[in-house]
Amino acid sequence: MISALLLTNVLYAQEVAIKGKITDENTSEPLPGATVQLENATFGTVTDVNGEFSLRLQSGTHTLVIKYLGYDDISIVITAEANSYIEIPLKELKSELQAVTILGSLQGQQKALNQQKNAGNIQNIVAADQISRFPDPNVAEAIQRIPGTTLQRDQGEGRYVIIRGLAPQFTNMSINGEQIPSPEAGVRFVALDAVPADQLSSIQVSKSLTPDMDGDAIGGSVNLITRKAKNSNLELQGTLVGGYNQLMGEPNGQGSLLIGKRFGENEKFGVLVNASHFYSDRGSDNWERDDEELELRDYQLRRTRTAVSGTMDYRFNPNNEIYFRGIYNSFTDREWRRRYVLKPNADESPFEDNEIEHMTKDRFEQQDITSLNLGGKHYLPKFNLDYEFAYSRAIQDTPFDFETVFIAEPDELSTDFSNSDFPTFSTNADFDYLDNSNYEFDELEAGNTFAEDENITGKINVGVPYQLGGNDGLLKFGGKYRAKTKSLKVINNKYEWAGGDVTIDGQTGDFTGDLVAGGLVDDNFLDGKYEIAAAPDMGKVVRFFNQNKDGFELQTEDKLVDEANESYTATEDVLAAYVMTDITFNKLQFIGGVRLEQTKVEYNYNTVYFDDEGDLDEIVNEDGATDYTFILPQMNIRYALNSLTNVRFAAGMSYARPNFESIVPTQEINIQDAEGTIGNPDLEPVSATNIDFMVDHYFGTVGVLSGGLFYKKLDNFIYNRVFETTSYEGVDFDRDMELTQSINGETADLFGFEIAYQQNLTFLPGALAGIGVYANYTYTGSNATLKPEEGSDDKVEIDLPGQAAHVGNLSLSYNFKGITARVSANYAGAYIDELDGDDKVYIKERMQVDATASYQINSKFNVFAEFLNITNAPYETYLNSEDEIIQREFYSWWSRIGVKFNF
Amino acid sequence: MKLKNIKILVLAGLVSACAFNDPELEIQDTNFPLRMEIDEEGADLADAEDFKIGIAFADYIGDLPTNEITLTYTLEGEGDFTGVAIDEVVYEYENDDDCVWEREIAFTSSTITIPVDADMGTVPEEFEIVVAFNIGEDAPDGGFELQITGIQSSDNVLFSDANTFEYEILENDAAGKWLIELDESTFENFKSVFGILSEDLAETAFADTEGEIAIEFEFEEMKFEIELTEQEEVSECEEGEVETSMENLVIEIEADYDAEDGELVFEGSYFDEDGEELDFVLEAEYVINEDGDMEIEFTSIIGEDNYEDGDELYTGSQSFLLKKD
Repeated sequence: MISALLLTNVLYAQEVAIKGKITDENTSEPLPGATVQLENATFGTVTDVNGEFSLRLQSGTHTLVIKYLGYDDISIVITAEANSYIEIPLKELKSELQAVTILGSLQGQQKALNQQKNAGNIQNIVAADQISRFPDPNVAEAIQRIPGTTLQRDQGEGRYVIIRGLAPQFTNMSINGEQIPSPEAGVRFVALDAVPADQLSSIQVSKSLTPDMDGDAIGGSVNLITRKAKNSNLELQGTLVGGYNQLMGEPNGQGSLLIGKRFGENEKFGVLVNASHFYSDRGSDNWERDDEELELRDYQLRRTRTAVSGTMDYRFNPNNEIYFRGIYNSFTDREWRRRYVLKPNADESPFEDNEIEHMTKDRFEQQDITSLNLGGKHYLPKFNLDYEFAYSRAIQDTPFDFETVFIAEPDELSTDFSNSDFPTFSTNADFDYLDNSNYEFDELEAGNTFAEDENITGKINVGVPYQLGGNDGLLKFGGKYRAKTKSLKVINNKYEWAGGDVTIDGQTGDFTGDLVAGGLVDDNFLDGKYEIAAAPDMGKVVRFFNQNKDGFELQTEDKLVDEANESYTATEDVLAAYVMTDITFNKLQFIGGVRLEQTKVEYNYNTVYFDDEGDLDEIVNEDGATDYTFILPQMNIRYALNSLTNVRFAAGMSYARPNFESIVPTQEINIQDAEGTIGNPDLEPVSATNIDFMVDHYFGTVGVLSGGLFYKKLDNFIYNRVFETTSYEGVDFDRDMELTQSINGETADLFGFEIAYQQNLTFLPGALAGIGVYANYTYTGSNATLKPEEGSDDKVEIDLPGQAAHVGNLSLSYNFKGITARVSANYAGAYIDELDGDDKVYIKERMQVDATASYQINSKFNVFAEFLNITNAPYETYLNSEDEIIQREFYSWWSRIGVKFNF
Repeated sequence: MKLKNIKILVLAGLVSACAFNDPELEIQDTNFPLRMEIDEEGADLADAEDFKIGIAFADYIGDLPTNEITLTYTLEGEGDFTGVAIDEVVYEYENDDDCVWEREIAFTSSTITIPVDADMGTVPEEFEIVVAFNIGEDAPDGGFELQITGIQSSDNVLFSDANTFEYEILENDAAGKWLIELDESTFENFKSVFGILSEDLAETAFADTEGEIAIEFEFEEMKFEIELTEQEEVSECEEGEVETSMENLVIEIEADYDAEDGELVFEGSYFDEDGEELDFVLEAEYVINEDGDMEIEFTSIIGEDNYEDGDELYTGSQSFLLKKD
């Protein structure tokens, strides 16, 4: 109704649409987030990520006032004519910063803070040149510097983003404003370590939504923005980096090259291509505990990240353009995992033996994400129009995943966890666990998987300017349709030895580990706390397999069950529409409206039935479907106390769709281990009401002090429940199974506050003026009510899984005569990772300290050095209390040195 | 540095930065072959006249071969078994009405040719080689070995690396068939031990039985059979002829066993009250008396979830007399 009223007030004057660009006077770099206002009026706009702005003005002469943090304010007289394009250069506040040499090192902060200051909603920006201030090779690690964000890590590298304590599936991930599919089977969230940070012009993290944004973003929305050609000067940027990983004693390297240029009259046609490649030989030393079992895991990894992105845009005139953007990311991960699993017969059961498994895993995984966007933007006299057709595809291809197991059965085996840092174990004196001849072949698994997720999207947005009581506003409405298909194919072959004695390299006897041992041996595993021997060498095992297939028995039932259980296909159609307004009354900006999103999911899967003996009975192919609709009101208010201080309030609704693996009733059942994971077709999406209040004050040079409160109320929040049963949905397992299933909780309240301070202390005297501080802290509390267990009325209240109470960053930097040095600490407090019955598995608090130093040789060359994880902070988990550590994984430190050039 | 060296250096750098996307060695397991297996061991009493050796396809996915398979073999005996020879090779065909036909497979002194069965359209899934001894009953000695030495097939079929069957005479003193003659007290005693392992037995009254328990110890396996008075109609169809008869119901308890120096250990599985299948170990002591009968005393049964002192499924000293059948 409000929209209808507003429509009646739409006034069309004799306006012309003009377009312009704000740039740095010295570097010609575009300045995003600059305010462009008509003198003595509230009427104005803000430059976009490319530094560009559009305005509708009465034809004739006007004075524009341009403001940008870190730059002098300027007033400029322009003549508004149809299709005019003006470029306005700004001059830096040299007088205040003369004690330090800038040479672009602060430009990232300037860009980020200007955009943040003038955004209508609550958002944080990480600009490209800001990313490079921290040693963050991938997007996830760059985002961790933002207030209220934590990471889930893999092998020491950030992978998934947690915003304000909400698990990764609560965060919407986009490239250039369009959701990216997940390469991983079953989930929606994207492993951001697949995307190299240097592909982006900026990362935009929105913590409050506007109706023109996708509504499935309870935690927030992360938008990765790729680059675009700036002007007719050839832009040539690149990096060349080499490094060293201390744990593995291996090098790493990175190279990137960006070329961009605009062509033709009035620079109508722009082309930019950006390519990068990164590789790293990494590893980790790890121990894990499961009851009385102890695992020693030695990882060796080769990871690469390759990306190519490009943008072509064509401006018919300043107010009409079309574009084509594309990005291809390929992340590869080769992993060798060598481990001992020590399984003492702790209960001294005569039906069990002490066992030590000696295993090697060798697998290659490739995650590719491709996103193509074709669209146009038209700034017409009476309305704005933008539209886009997007195609995106993500795959996770695991062409081989081998694991072999050899088992020894010592007469005596015990583990001792009284030393929670490094548990101990012992065997009978005459048994040597390092002697591979004690280990007999148990099995070889050789599988491959292919997961695919494809989105085809079309969307259109229309903006109609209007005036209300002399105030300018924009009425905006639009729609979007997205068709998604997602599938997982699994091949899983498990072989056992059914032959007799074997002969390898002239030795004949039982098929024991010594006949195939080889490969890398870590002689300083976990800093020498444990000794490990050469593990089974996968090359030798596979060679033996290929030559002796007549001795191997394919476990056909396991193959059929595993492949049927895990494979599925699903489609998801999303239809969305919204209407909103963005209007500024003097110092108050109001963005509000409503969004409707309808989701229809259909899926196809297999149900596996077992007979009374627990053997495979039947595999039945089945279909299922679910649908839901959300109406999501959104409101953002920004009140500018003055040109440097905002008070913000946001309220709105959002939701999170369940992961595919959570709703599709597929099963990952391991009868032998009496455990499994099953889908839950009755799972409801999570809905949330979000309220934010924030005050942000910006310093005239470069800096911000901000503080805010947030509250979220979640209905039907999703968590993993572990329960015991002998059957499920007509499938009789014939034994007690421990099953994990995602279910809806009742409600959860999440609340907290965040404060952030960053400033270059240029007001200090002399050389001290080079000191800079970057600090933020977020406290989050939550209270989630779980569903009562069967047969109980007791409601259990817990902290929301994934929610860390304390998260923060502290970074001190120093700039002096072209040298920049920085020490950064990132802290994430403990949080619940998993609920296992009454037990809670926590990720322990972790603080990583990194250091960087760079020297700006001249305006074109910069050399830098980085040291990461200087304190060798481990990844640790514990069960219920910190006294019961169940995992400690160490990565040691790694370093890089390199050169950046910018012509 | 010469340009050529720089190029080589750059090239080496690029190669070293590549993804390791190939396994050390490609596994050759697409279309994994079907695999035929032979029983590896067997034994029977000294007076046995022949023995059936099973050969079967291991678990497979897809269809069985549609072309005949030829196996080559050697059969060698020692001691009293020097004259062993294959008597026949047979398989069974069962139609959709559960009617069974026994069909022969052609063989020579060194080959066995597995045909494509006209009704099945494939080779049979399993067959038996019947080896005849012709050695008489006077304390035979020795054994024999049947080795599959080769396989010829136009289909994707292998014969197992474990390709040898070894036969020996079953010599433990528990081997053979035995009987326990029941009265009500003996039956209740038997139930007090084995009722734990068989819910059917626990619910059976002495009056429901035929008054005896048959026990048979074969090669590594044994079973108790309690014949009940209750009968059921059983239809059997062999060679196309259906025969219907009334047969007594039988309660069976099976286990693997090991008999040595007067001690017997049985290992098997049972279902607990929740229907979960669990392993058990039963211990007994036995002697063969002057009459050739076995006096056996069952002393304990422990289960997978009941093995600690005081938590056993059974402890006691129930004794039974097993008469040679």
